[in-house]
Amino acid sequence: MLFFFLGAVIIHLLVCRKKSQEGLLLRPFITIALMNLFLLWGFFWFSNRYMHSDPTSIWSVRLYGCAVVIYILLIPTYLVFYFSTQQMSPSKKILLLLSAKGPLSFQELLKDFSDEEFVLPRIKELIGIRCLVEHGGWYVLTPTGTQMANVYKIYQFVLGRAKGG
Amino acid sequence: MTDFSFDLAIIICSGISFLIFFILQVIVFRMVHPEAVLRWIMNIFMIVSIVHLSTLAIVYHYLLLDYPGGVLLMAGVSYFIFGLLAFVYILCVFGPSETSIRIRLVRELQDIKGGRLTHDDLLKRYNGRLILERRLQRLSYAGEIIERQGKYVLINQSNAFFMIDAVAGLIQKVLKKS
Repeated sequence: MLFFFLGAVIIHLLVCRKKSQEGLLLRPFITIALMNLFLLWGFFWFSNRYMHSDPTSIWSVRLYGCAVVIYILLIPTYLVFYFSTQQMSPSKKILLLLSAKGPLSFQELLKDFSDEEFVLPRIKELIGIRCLVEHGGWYVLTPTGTQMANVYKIYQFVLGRAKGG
Repeated sequence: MTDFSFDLAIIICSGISFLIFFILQVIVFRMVHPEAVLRWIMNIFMIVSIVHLSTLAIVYHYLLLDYPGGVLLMAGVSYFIFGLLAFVYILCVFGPSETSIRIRLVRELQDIKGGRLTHDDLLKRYNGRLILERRLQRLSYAGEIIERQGKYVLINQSNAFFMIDAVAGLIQKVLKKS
């Protein structure tokens, strides 16, 4: 299972190196990962049909379902690390600044926290994924953006949390 | 026990533990300080880990007497799946809800009637300064940094952020075109 997942990661990294475009290449990874999942399923079918194991030993139990669940969970895990190569998180930036420069005051840290770095690129991305539209100097939520906001509003209500950020 | 039911039992155990983890999160988060949630989510994970492993040890000791090593295998695999489920949930669902700038921006717009704001109004409601204030507060409560004589000092040099950064750095290195 790990072999199949690592295969998907390696192919994705090779695709990313080949492609000249900037930004995230999510669709290729999802496609490769799903293809490998299909191959993994084929491998399980083959081993179940042609490979025999000792039925008295617990160590020869075939945990196909568990392997598939782990494989599926590894996909978002990899994507989290892949995402973090593309954007700087504010918390990570604070920690990296304090680690590199030593103790800093609020005003010193604020010099590195501009709207241009943290807010404006995200607004552009929201427009790019059609959650927002810019219309006559106004930012307007699209139905997709409204749905996304509603899902998080409900989730934050369930947890008793205020707006994040 | 057949392979299929053994497999299914492990997945169900992991699912139940995750459900307990989520329910505990809903209860505990309503009681603790809003900025202390990051520390508490780890505490909840540890509590559920102990409950998960000890319950499995007790239950499977009686169910799998004819399988030597069954307890160990089942506990190990189901704990691994539960850990992975919690990890994915924290990073992909809870994390964005708590810290994502994009989600905060759409939530700000949602709060306005008609869901529309000008560029300047949006930045008045949410900007770099506010982000810095919230993150400093959150990192202080998580025990990652401390404020001494008006300056913020890093306490923990080996936290999760640096670990994620190290893995991301590795991927970045591979991605760099030759």
